[in-house]
Amino acid sequence: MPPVLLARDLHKTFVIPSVRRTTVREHLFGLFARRSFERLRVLAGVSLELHAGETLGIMGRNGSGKSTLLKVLAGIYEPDAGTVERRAPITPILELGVGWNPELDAIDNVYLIGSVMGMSIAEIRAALDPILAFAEVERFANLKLQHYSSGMAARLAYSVAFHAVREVLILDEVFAVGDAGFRLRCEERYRQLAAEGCAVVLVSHDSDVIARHCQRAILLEGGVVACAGAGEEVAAAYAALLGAAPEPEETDAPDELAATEVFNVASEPAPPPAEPALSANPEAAAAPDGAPAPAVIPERPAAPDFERPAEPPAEAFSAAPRIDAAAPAPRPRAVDATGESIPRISVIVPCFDLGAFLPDTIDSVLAQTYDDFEVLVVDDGSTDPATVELLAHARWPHTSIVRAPHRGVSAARNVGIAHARGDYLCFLDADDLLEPNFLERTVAALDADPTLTFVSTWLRTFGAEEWLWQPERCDLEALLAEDTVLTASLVRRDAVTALGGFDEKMPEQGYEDWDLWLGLVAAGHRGTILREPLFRYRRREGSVSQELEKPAVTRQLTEYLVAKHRRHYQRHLRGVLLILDGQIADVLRDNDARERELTSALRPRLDAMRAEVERRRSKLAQIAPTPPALGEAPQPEVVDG
Amino acid sequence: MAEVAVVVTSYGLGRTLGEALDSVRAQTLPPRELLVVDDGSADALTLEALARAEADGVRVVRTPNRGVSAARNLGARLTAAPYLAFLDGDDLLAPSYLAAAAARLDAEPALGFVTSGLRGFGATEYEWTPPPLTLDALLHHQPPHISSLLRRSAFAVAGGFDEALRCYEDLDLWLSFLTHGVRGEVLPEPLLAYRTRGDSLLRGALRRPVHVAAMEHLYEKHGPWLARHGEAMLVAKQGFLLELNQHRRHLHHLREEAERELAALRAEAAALGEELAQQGIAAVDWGDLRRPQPLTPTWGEERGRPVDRAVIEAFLDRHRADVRGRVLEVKDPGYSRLFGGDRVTHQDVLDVDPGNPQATIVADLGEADSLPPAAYDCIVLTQTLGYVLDPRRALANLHRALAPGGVLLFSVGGQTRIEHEGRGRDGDYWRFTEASLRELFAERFPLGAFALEGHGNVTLATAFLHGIAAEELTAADFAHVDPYFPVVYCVRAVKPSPSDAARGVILAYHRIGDAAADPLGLTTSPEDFRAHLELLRRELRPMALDELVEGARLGAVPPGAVAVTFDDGYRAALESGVPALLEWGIPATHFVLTAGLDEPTEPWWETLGRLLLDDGPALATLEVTVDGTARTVPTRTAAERRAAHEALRDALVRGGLDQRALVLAAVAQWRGGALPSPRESHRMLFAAEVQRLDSLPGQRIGCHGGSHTFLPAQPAAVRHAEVAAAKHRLERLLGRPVDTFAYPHGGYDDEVVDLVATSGFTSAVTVDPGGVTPGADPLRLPRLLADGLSVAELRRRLEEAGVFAAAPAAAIGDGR
Repeated sequence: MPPVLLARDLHKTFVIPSVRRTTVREHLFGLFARRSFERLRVLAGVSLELHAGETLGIMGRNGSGKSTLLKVLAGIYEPDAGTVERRAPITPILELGVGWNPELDAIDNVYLIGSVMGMSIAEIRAALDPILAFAEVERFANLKLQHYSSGMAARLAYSVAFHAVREVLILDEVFAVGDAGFRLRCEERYRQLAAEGCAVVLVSHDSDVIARHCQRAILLEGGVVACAGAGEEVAAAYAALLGAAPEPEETDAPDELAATEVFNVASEPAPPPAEPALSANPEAAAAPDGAPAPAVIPERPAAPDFERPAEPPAEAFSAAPRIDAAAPAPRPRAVDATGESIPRISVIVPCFDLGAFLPDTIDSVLAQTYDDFEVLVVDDGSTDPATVELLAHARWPHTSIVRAPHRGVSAARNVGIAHARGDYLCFLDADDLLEPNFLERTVAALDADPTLTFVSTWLRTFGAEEWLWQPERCDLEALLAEDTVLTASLVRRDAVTALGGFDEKMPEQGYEDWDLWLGLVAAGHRGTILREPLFRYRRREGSVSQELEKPAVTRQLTEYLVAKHRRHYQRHLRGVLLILDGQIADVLRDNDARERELTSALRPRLDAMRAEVERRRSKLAQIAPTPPALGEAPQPEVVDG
Repeated sequence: MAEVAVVVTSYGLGRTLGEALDSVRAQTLPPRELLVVDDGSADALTLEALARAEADGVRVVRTPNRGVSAARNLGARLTAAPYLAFLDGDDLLAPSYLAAAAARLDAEPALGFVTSGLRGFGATEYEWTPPPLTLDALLHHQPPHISSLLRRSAFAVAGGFDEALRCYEDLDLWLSFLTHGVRGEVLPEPLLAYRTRGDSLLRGALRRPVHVAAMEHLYEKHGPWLARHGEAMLVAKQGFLLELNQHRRHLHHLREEAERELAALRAEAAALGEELAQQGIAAVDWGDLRRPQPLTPTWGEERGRPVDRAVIEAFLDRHRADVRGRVLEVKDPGYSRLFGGDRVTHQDVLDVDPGNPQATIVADLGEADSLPPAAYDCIVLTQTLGYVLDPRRALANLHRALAPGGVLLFSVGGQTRIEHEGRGRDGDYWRFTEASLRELFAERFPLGAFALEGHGNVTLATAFLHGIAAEELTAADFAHVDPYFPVVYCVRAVKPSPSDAARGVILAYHRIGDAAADPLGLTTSPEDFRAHLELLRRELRPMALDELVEGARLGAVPPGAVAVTFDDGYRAALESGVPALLEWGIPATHFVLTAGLDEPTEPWWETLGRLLLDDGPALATLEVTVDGTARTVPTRTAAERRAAHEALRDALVRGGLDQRALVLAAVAQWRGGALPSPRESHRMLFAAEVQRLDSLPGQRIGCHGGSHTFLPAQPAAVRHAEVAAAKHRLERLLGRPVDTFAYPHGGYDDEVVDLVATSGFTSAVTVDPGGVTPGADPLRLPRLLADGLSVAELRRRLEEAGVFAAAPAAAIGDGR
């Protein structure tokens, strides 16, 4: 019987930039250095064949080329050299998320992916319940996929594949997903498929899995088949290999579609950071009372407690620039020392009990037209059950959740800064929204002008009130008078850390971002305001901004701010007062117009209508003795029993 | 108890001024001085209210519009009582206010002022007690109210109101109080009634640049003191801004609430309407009135007495004493007989229709001069003006036909149907309103000489439209006056009689400067000039020249009327004279020469004077050709040179422009050189300076010709250039008509006067001595030359001219 899948002498090499530039300084000087790239030979002559009813195992350490081989077999990558003959339809499950629509619920996605995998609508309809049951997501059948945890999403993906497969199934680390029960069901289903004559390619780190399920297996090492044979043999060889050289960190694939990571941050801030820039700025060091810098950014934990699907497959390599590209390529994505992709932007979302709004906020980030970002949700010790529940279960792409004890928004943002990997930061409050091109526009502005430190935009409110805010200036004088800069302005991380991040000592919450921009500009940094409303500011009862409208609170905050930046306020006193006067004039005028409308238009009309109603009522009273009085609602009937 | 001066300021507040004054008169502690300073109101309503106040014995000071700060400061300067209160002409004082506040100032000599709570009334009603005077209160725009009782010494220490400010002058005053450590006290009771208006701009409605400019001025002025409180100011302003924003949200909320309630009321009204309809009852019971035609298609005569007639007859009955002597009535003499009876010595009946057998005069009221002049002691003109196509001309005619002291009893319809009799729809031209009638009458009758009243209400108007008769209505139906639904307007207007009329005086000045150095006697020292103005302001009634001319034309020169004029447009007058004029709020007319507009130019007599009269090397004789005769004039001694100067000056006044140039050149040569360059202290105003002068409060530009020639001696072409071309030039420069002229060298004859009139000037001043009396020829107005006079001498000459004769006693001495 001929093989259903035949691969001969497969070669595949990737080109990646070898330098990661993390600071402005490195970027500036890096412009003049020769850009160097690294050739990564992933496959160097791999051959294999697969027969119907056979299960082939593929083992190898991280970076050995397993995932790349699977993609070449599935036809996702073209090999540089060698051939793949596919003689039967292949059902691959390589990427969790590819083809899945996060905006649709599980059922719609099953239809969508089932169709892609070649199932008819009738087949899908018939298989729907078993698919959901197999994945243990029946209860969440109507939940949008974007709110699934990575484990749920993976289980669903495998379940569809298991039910869609006809002849050849390619599986990556299926048994790493989910709990023991799911693994058992997977093994059961897989044995069933094999009995039906299905051919399976199974990738795993797990020697036990390979030994139990695979008649044959190969071991990849350095892009070549280091060992081939029966499952047990190869599993033993792999165990021996690991014993000789321990498993390297996740180098196999940049984690472009990595699902939400969850970190836990110690409840006390970490010891003072090693990075000297954190306290290097004298401006930041000089707190109002001469005390040391108010903010201490906790260091990123050395060994975060990861909870993520094992070895997510690679996709980012496909975006790596070709070395011979003639046209200026889009900015290459950075990778870290381990080859992991470094996002350009870290969107830091502090969240305290705002679970009701957080999904929309994160969606507005995920919907950006610029996609080189990570989202760091910093759970500021939420106590509201719905928020706690959401943060425990919801998972979003590109998104990590950092848990911290409740210490206020400044501290939460500082935790975010400590975890941020992007050169640019965006502090997005958990109830506000970015317009889809917010990042694209602000990144372009920061990229275009190295002398700019932050880029803000106009804003549009939504919710309880609707208005457009169009600040013009963000120079020192303007900023002393008013916070004209969005909290979510895109800002260079270096500058923020140099300033010591957000002031955690402010007496009340609400002006910490104003203080940050003021500190930056006072220290000589420059920002700009894009004249487009790219930010949507939620107005609702009870928010911090509403809290800020209590005179005592603002008075305290203003006094703190004025004292902290005293020198600048003194120098710009008149200018600042005049800016405030201008605003006062506008509001006075507006209020006057409103009052006038009330007194000369609305009140007389009300009086006239009240009199008319009264007149009609008394007229009615003359014929019907007891009409209902004004405003008296009819009493509901009380029913006993 | 120390005495109080109350200064009431008014600008266009005619509707409320009387009420404000009444509230002052009703004080349990009557003020020793009560002064109204009107800041240049121009509307007839306010002018009428001012005239009425004056007739009631209130001292009124009128100034060109300079802003409320200047008006209040002037009021302070013209009063003397140790306690001072300002009152805006639309606010009211509670009767106990002055007594309560003065008692506190008496009791506590350390207090600089006492203020009180206030009660808003009008569009919105509220009560508010200001916080104690602190910087924080001022920054929150919560200053004490402007009618706080001030100790005059504290007001003086603070420097009064800042006249550079057109808004927030109160904030500035209180800031000055703070910086000078003046302490005050707040009476919590609402003792000031503060009128709120739905229709006019409130203080809060300043435009941003105005607001910011005023604040900038305050920071500049109080800078050092404020700098010490910089941080507190920042915090307070931020807080205030926040409060305002909260208030904005509150207002937004109120508005939404009101709209919701309105919607609910509409729904309820509709539901009640339906309920009524189910009972077979309409929401509005139209009764007999629901019909496309009126009940009675005529005015109601079939049913009884028409409504308008009832009103008119009541009006005429009240004024029956006016119906006397020679009486004119329209159409028939019914009312003259009814109300005049035996007092009527001669009856004329006017009709435009020659078919009217009763008509003794057939004429169109709308045709100019169709009535005999000064012929009637009383004219009864009821419900007629709407049928005259040119009502303005009709008023002129009526005024002309009245004898001095004669009375016009007038009525016209308000909310009425279109005429169905006579020419009907084709002859019924106009309906009038309170505002249009006031303006029409003010054009012909002096303010205070006519009284306008509206009668009617919606019931009366409806009754009249339906032709329901007066007998079918009650007295109460007639009693209620709703100014928005008038049925009839009645006016009683009196033509002033000469015995009421005073003489006005027009003063003429030239230069203001160092008088000792002026051999020509055209200079008044700044000190003397200031003293002159104080005399005018304190004891007379300074007014603009055109106002005096208009008064003379209407036959009512107000008592004490005096106008200030400047000839030649010396720059020194602008520099040294105008500030004093502005300070005292006295208007002036500046007659400028166009010759000096474009380059530095001295009047020719200044050049001649300095050439001939200055000390310095000169020849013993001056060779010069005058009037075609070559002459040798001895010039060795100072006396000889003075004689030469006088002779030449007389020759140049009458001579032509060519001779003037030749003689001046000859004199310059005699001095040993070219013509001297003009002195800054003696030059005339440049074009831009004339424009600036014209823009200053009360300062107007008149025409003094081109190059100051004696016009009767000039050929026609020169005259035309000197009069018409100069007028044209000035009008182009100022962008508006220049309608008053001053004859150069005071020279005029009939031809010159004709030229001045045909050039479009409506008034012209001479240097003939005398006062201005009613009916004076507006193109030959006499003037009193005031250059260099001492105050005593000026007073003597003013007395001579008769201006003091009729000056109101109330105006004299109060503030001294």
